[in-house]
Amino acid sequence: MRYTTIGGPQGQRSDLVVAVVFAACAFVLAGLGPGPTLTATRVLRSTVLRPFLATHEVFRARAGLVSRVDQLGRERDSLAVRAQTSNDLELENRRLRSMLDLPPREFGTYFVAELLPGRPHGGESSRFILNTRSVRDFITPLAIATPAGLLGVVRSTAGSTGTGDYWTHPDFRAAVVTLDGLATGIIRPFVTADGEQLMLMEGVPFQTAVPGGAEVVTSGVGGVYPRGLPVGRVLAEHEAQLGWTHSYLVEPAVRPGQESVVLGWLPGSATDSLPPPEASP
Amino acid sequence: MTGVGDLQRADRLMSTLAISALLLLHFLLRPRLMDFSFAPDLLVGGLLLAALRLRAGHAAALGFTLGVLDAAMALENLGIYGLVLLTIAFIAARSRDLLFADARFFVAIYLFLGTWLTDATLAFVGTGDPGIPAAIGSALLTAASTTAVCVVVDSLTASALR
Repeated sequence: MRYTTIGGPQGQRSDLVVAVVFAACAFVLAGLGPGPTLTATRVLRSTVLRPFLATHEVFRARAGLVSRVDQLGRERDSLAVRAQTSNDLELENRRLRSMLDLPPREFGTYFVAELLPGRPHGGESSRFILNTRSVRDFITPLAIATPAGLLGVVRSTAGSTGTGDYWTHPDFRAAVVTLDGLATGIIRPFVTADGEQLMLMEGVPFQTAVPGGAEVVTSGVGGVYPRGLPVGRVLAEHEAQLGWTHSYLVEPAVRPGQESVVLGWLPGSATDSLPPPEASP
Repeated sequence: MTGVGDLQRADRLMSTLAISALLLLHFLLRPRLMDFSFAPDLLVGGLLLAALRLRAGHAAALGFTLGVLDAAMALENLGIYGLVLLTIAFIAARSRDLLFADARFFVAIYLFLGTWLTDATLAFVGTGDPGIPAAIGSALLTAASTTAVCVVVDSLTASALR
């Protein structure tokens, strides 16, 4: 017999004690807050799991090398066009603001970071880890985006590492507005009956109709997300109308899972909406 | 001439090597394996095979350790993953006498039920939230493939001793 009982009743009691002790440790770990959990996860990932994670990185880099080069070429071309346009816009904005006697606008700053998605046993993860060398001890919540649009938010940090939620996380919310500025609302994740992951724009005033295909961007209300970050496009009005508001299904601009390099946004001092001191009566 | 003690030592060595290989493969190939719903769960398979040969307390400790490591890799709750694998390993180690002695068929049933239960539980408690039918269905496929791989590994270690 290869599988035999080991230990008598005394041994079984000690086994139970060992199991209870480890179960208590598990309960303690489960009850830790986001900060200590992130620290423990970071320690494990940088020690025991480091060789495995390094191997994953090699596999991933080799697998996507050719397609990544093509994608980078396309991104570089479109960025060159956008940079040229934005230069003109920036000059015009600066000139108009000086004519109105407004202070220079604070745009906030972006920094580049590495994003590591979670991989649970079932379904798609709505969590990620963010690593960056650019910024230390950044303040949360912190908006995370790709050049295509809004991706998620960092909830807790330890040093230059943070954990965050994709927009697919049930707790995710962001203030949005249509590109024409007529309809405002709050965006949240929504799973259709078919299991498709979309967004739902809620709280749109009842008298405001949003046509299909309208682009939705962040409104900047709350200060967590920068104004004008692409969120998605309106697909159709949602069936359920609550009270005096509309809700619309939105096709997200960015779907989680593919991005390994992202942009974090550090808000500047929000003084651009205030009149300058000397302009006050 | 080979004694019973030598045979047990050889069995322990072969089993340890095979289970270690399964666990190493799991951590090395985890991102690839998670892309397929029918891919074997080598972590749970290795843990269940180890639980056949360990005391319940040691199996629980191994389950806790593997659960915490897997959660750190998956960015899930360390304690919950540790608790689920600890419980499964402890029950598995305790239940082997109730179910079977050395029959291959019962080992397969044990592996299938153990993997299915573990993967379905981890899918429910994780943040992925695939939904109840999807979690159960996916766990069934995973359990079937895990059973196939682990029965082959277990048979190979047994035949190597002959």
